[in-house]
Amino acid sequence: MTVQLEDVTVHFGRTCALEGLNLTVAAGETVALLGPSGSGKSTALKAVAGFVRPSRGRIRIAGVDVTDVPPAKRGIGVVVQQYALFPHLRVADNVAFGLRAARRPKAEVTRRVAEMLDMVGMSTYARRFPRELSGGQQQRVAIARALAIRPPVLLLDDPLAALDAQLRADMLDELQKLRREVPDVAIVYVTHDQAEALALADRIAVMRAARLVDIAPSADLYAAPPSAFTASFLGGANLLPVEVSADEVRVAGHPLAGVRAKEGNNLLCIRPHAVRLGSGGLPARLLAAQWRGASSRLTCAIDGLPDVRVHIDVPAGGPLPEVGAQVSMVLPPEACSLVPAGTR
Amino acid sequence: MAVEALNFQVAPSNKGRQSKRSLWLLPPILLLAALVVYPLVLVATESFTGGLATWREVVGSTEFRNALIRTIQISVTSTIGCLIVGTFLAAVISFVPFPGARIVSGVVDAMLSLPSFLVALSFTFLYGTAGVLGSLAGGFLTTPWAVVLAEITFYTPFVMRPLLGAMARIPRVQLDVAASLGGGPWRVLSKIVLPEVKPALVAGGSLTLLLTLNEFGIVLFLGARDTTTLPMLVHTKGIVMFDYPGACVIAVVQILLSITLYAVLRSALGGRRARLD
Ligand SMILES: Nc1ncnc2c1ncn2[C@@H]1O[C@H](COP(=O)(O)OP(=O)(O)OP(=O)(O)O)[C@@H](O)[C@H]1O
Ligand SMILES: [Mg+2]
Repeated sequence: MTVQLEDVTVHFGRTCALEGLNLTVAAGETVALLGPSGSGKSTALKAVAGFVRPSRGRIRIAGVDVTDVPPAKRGIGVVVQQYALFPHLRVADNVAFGLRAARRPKAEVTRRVAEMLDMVGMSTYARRFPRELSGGQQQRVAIARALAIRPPVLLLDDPLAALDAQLRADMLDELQKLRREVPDVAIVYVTHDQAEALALADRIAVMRAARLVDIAPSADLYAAPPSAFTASFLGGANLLPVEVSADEVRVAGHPLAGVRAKEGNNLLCIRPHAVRLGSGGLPARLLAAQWRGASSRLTCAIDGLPDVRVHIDVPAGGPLPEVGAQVSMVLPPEACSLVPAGTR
Repeated sequence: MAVEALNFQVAPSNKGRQSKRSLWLLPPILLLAALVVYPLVLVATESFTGGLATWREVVGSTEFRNALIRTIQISVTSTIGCLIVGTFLAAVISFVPFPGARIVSGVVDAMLSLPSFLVALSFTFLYGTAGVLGSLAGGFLTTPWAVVLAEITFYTPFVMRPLLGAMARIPRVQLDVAASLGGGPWRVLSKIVLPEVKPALVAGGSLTLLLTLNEFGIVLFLGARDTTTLPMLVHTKGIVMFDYPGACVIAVVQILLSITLYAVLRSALGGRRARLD
């Protein structure tokens, strides 16, 4: 079933938490809402779930206007940021809550709960209380609880935010697997982590300050970000000021061959892993080097642009220049694109 | 002193501080002994002035047994009523958004400071023979139900106060999730809210039970014929009939009843808390 948001606006008192959001999520599609803290992602999700009432706009599920329908009647699965397991109910009873509310026969409840706990790998914990579980385990139970009622729409609010890096990677795997087990469910996945969005989403909606900035298929958004904000938020692109004259693009006075000029006030966008150190590039100075295991992150300043920090990811193993040394920075034209400067 | 005698091993500075601390404890303990324990001891001795005969006579009387049963009946019924009304009101104030919620919860706090006979007095205006609803209520005030209703009216805030606090601590998002799973208001209240506020419910309920057990003002003011409770009997015997030993026997029973109930509730509550942590 499709979820449609039309011009959805939410106010909390005088603060506007969500401004005119238009978004459609098709059945079987995963859309990630990606944005920094306070950008209105959770608010958008709460509006779809029915936890907050939009001050303007309509929400439709499968074509039916549900804007005034209470949450209990929407049949949406929700996993909230804090999991919100019911503390006095055992894991199995948490998962069974929705089924019992729907007055399913006892045998079916038992079977479905077992099935869901099995799916998230929590069968052995059925008799535990939530407080006896780790964060990742609580997370799984919350997902099982939401999916037990076979919702056509699943909303996940930053489900991995509270987990440590290792667990996060594991859970990301599990979520991908889970995605394949519920092929027809429309999923809205809220996150502030671009890696999660890229790994899980068919399309990514980038949010900022209560507004939708860009929305596009993940690969497109990554390869050709439509705005400077999206470029830096999704993949941490370098944004360099450029001078455009006739059909030539120059950075700090150096022409870049092969980069097509564009109208307007633009920035040059290039990913840290695409920048290379080699001969014949822009003269720059290495300011810092950070070893990150598989790669090293170098921070440089191009001569003539002392205020702009350029990040470069180079594979580990090779020799690194000394910090403070003069380097030559190559910007391969196929990795460069121009994005409207706008507001950063 | 005792502390010094026992703790001969502690460091001198520590010993000094400890004995100083026990000195601080002395005035309140003496005060407590003079004002509370001593009168109670007097009451207990007075009850034995006639030997065990007074006890046998009083405890054996139907008058006493009826009062004991009445007291417990009224107290238990009132407490159950307070729990039902209090839970309902607290849930509405906590979870149904309406503009005056804060004012209402302020009124609840104010109610806690009112004397109980005020409720009884207002009842005589409402339901008394000359009162507004007098003709309709038709002798309502002379039944024990009048006392029960008055006690529910007066003691419901005592249940609501801890409940409001406990309900405010339930994360809203938990209720949201429960609703999104298809839980209607009744199911969310009974399956999520009530289990989570159970300690507050037990605390408020046991406080109410203790207070209604010892309630005097309301019973006296409503003065119904059938509603002689233990405190009323103490009053009648001691003040009206000058039967001091008899009054003291009942008073001792009353005290024992309260203390036993308190001890039982304390151990039940303490056990629960220990299990939760
Ligand atoms: N109940 C509320 N009352 C008042 N303001 C709120 C409320 N909930 C959210 N806001 C405000 O609305 C804005 C958007 O909040 P929201 O929770 O949607 O952010 P978010 O994108 O989910 O952030 P995060 O990644 O930190 O969870 C914030 O400025 C927040 O302060
Ligand atoms: Mg959020």
